[in-house]
Amino acid sequence: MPVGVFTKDELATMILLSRYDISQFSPAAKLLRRIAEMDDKTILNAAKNLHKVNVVWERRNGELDLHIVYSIVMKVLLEPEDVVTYTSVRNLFQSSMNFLRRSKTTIFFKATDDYESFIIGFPLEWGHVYEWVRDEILDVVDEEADVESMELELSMEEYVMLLTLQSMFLDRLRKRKKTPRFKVTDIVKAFGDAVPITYLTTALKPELLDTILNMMKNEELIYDTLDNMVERDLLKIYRDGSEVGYSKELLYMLDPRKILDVSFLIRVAVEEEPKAIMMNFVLHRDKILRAEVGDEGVNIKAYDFESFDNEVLRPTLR
Amino acid sequence: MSISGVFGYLRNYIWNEFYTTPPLVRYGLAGLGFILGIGTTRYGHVGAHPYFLEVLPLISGYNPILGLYYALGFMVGDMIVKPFESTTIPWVLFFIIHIAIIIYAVLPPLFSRGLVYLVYSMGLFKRDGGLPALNIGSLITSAIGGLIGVGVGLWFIDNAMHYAYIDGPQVLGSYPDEACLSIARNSDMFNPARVSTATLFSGPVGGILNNLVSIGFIPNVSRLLKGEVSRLEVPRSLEKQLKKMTKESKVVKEIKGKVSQAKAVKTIKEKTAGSPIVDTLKGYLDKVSETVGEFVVPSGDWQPVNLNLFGNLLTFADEGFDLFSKYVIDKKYIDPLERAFSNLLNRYYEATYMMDIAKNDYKDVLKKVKIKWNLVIKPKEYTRVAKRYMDSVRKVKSLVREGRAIHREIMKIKRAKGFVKGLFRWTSNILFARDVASDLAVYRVDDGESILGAFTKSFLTNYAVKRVTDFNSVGFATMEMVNEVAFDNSEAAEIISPTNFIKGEAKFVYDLGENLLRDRSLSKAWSKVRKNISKGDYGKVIKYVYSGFEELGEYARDPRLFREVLENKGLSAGLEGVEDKAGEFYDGVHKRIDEVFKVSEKSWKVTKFAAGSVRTVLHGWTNLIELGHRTLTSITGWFRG
Repeated sequence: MPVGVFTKDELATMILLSRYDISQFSPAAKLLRRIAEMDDKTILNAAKNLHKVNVVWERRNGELDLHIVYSIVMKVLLEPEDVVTYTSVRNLFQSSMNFLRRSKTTIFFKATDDYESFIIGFPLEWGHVYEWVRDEILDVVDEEADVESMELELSMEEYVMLLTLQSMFLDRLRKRKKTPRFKVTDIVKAFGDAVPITYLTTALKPELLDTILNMMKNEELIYDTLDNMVERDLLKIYRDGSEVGYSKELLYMLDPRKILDVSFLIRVAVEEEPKAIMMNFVLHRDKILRAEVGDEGVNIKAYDFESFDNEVLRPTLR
Repeated sequence: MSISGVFGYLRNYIWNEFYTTPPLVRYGLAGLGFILGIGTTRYGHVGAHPYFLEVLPLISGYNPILGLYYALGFMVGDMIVKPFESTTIPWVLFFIIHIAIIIYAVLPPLFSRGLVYLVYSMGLFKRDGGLPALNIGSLITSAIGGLIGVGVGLWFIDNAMHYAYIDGPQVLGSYPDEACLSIARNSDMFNPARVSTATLFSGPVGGILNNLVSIGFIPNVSRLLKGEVSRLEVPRSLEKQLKKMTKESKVVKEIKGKVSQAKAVKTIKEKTAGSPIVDTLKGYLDKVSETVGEFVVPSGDWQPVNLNLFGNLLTFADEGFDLFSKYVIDKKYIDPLERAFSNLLNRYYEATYMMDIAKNDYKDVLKKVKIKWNLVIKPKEYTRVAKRYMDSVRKVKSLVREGRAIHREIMKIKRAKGFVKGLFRWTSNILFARDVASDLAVYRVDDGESILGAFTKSFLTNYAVKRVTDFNSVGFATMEMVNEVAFDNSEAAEIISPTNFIKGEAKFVYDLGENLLRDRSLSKAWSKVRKNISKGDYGKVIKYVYSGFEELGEYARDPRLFREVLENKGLSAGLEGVEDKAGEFYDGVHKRIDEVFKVSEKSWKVTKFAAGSVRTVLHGWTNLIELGHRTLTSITGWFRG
């Protein structure tokens, strides 16, 4: 498998020379701003460098053009039919891995950690993608652990509440308080201080953002949500209702102390109407949690590795 | 370099130490302190415990949190054993000495680290990668800091002992013990040999230990062992430098301070002299104070600040602030910002949409770019489209910045609101503590209760008042204010005042319960409490109600009395001036009204007016009732006759 390493300017010049459409799902689309900022001298220097390594050829009319192999690679990179991106919080300061496919050609694309150079590997087989991601997850999760699968159906409000409680729990853990108990007044205060807003990055759905803003404005909604969660035995009441705490099941699923990694898997099938699957997994030593944000609610499910492999990973990346 | 910087640094330092110390070590040292403290000493002298105060700066020098736990454990042990030691000093006063010991435990590392930080921020020594480097200078500085810390700590302990042995007992109604103090002062801790070991050894060594730990003792030692001793930096005569700097800065500050202050006062005087605004203002203020003085101050002297009045005003201010924050701050400041934020969100969506359009245009243009060896051939519209694209990107970025700024602003206002509310809460807490303390003194001195009993009683009664008045704080505060202004010195004030009333009831319940628990007999408990009722300990309301019941009891015991009241001779008797039982009864009522609503000559005008008018009205009502009563009995008498 040949591997090419290019600087930012070189890759930008290659995009210029390829003259393909730049799909918004291509990881190289981020370079568009760099291209707009580049002056002629930089472009010409980069083109000369690329010519030295036979990536760029000169036509008879004096125009420069990409070598046929790299032309194909750029076609896959800029107009992919299928994109898989995998990254995790453990590797937060590293760039994500991208696999791109067009027809039967698959390539691998990754930026270096300083985003100054780019690595392109080609050609790959599509089956490699599944194995790669599987190995990454197996690096953290124990393959042989056997866990009963558990499921939680939450409304949007309950999900936002859970996010807030988790952040408060983390705060408590930082202060060496190990019990997941929260004063109701503190919860209301956290909404006043816009703690859930810090989760806006996960609030990719507009419904979720609306729910957060609603709950920040309306205190009643917070109390109602807490009541609902207590009725459903997700939370327990302490001290005549002035404090609430996690139930055993909830703590088993969501204990932040057990989290080893959080990973993100995105697959976009670029058709006339692009279909995107975005997943994030919370990896424990013995189990994997997956939250699915729907239109009206959120489903959180806990798998062991085997069922996760069969039910989620293989169907997603097949 | 700044002093506030030192405080910030020390705060971080302490938290850091706290979080990095394993709990087991902390509790272990607390246990060690406890074991040391539980042993008895001669006359219960704290300083006589062997190897405690000498070792303390060493431990706290290594880690202040450990020192704190050590001292706390010692305190618990020592306080438990105090009742079994032969000492005349009240138990509670030893707490003061222990508080001083805790200060003594924490000061050496703080002084040592603070001084090192200060000297480094002056730029006297070089830093080694952000941390103070291991050199003679920093070690000497930390040793000096530790020494100062120990000295100041010992000063605290000495003063605390003086208070505990001499002043404290007098406050608590006991006798001072000078002999005991002098023995304590000459105990093992404070004799010269011990002082030299404690202060001249533990403090500096603790400071040095502290410095070594904070900069990573082991890597530096290993470097030393590798023979890099020659690279150690020795500062040029540190003491000279320090002296010079402190002297200069002191003198300069003094001179500058004096000059600027004097100058400022002079300028203000010059500028404002003869100014019509200032004169008017002065005149106005004089007039106001005259009017207020005439109205408020009876004897013409200035009275000390009335804390009850202050507390009630605080309630109004608190409630007022709630309304203010709801209708002014929220409406005027936060709502527009929130509106601006949602507006901004719309603009942000719009801008990203426009950016997408510009991006697509730019992508189309890019396809037409051709590159030759020495030439990049761009289509005509390239520059315009590229510029539009870059502008749209910049706009999105600036909108994100703007959104963050708005959010920051909202949080700032909310924090300020929280701060003000906290201020109110804490002030009311301080007033509560002051109420508890003053009642504690009264129960201790007047009623001769034990210090614990007096405290419990004082705390519970005041807490009851606080909780009840919280139901309608503004209503009760209004009642108190009206009461304060209208019935200042009269007995009526005590009757109307809700806090007095509630406190009286609470005290009554507490005393009854306490006596019941102690004697396990209702009649005994009641007989004790009854004495207090007639003394007026539980407020005038209970006193009068009780005396009313007692009188009723008299009537009940002798049914003839009732009959005489009921079957009086009617109006004719009253008109003839014959004194019968009914007349006696009504005279008693008139007398009681005069008693309750009496005012002294010094009372405020408002009080006189209010008490007088209420008195007149009550006398009138009593007369009317007497008239009705006698009319009724005349008619029934006429029928009987």
